[in-house]
Amino acid sequence: MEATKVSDLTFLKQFSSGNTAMMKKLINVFLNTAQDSIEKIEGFINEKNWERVGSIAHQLKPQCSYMGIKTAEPIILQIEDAKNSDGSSIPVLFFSLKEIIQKAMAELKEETDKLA
Amino acid sequence: MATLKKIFLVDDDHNNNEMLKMHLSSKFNLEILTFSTGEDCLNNIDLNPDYIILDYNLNSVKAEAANGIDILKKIKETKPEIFVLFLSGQDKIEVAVDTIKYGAYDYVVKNQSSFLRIENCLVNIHKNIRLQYLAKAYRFATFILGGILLAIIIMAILFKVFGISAVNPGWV
Repeated sequence: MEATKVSDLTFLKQFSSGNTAMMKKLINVFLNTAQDSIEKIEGFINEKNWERVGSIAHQLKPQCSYMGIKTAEPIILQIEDAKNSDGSSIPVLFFSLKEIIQKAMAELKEETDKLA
Repeated sequence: MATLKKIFLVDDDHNNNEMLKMHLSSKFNLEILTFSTGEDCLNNIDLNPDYIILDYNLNSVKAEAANGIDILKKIKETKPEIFVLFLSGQDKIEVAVDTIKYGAYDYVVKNQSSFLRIENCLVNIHKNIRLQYLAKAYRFATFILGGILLAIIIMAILFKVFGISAVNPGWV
């Protein structure tokens, strides 16, 4: 049985009017920025800089929406809220977010290979 | 030849800027310039954009970058005629209310429908400008016609008072 996908390219297909080159470009930009964001968040978590963790996570939110990664959005919202408290829940929340994003990245990479 | 309308897209999210640029170029004939911070946008404000699409959180690339509301205030201080639209992932109502308070035309939350909403905002701005222009032209035409009518009435009164016939004014 196929594992449940965490990403959905319906919006991207609609946005690019079926232009596969455009879709591939947008997915690749997401793959790069998402990886970069995860690394930055990890660094800021180590520094306990919750404000910066929140800023980077906030930037990921619309990108997750465009790539149809619906399960990531509520976690990002929780991270954004947690940055205003003591931030102790952020590492656990980030662990879940990272798992989802990495799964989505693998799926999207597979999609771009199919688009080639 | 009509000059091309200019638009600035200000967002620290490169992907979002690119997607919005793609969408707007496919819908409008615009000169589009992108910036990743509000400071970069302000440094280029003398290029006189007609519209600016501004994000609220602009500090993911540069931590010290000012937020969208501070940038909006500075834009409105120097170029109040520029239409500023907010496009932000920040969905807190108080932020949206503040942007409108400081002169933003509209506030759009970033999601799958935001590109279409920005497109509609630009169409609405264009319609409003056209309506304002038509209202101005109508007021001007009414003023001119009123003046002509008033002149005719005054002339008619003068003719009557001085007993001048419109058919034979007396000097013929």
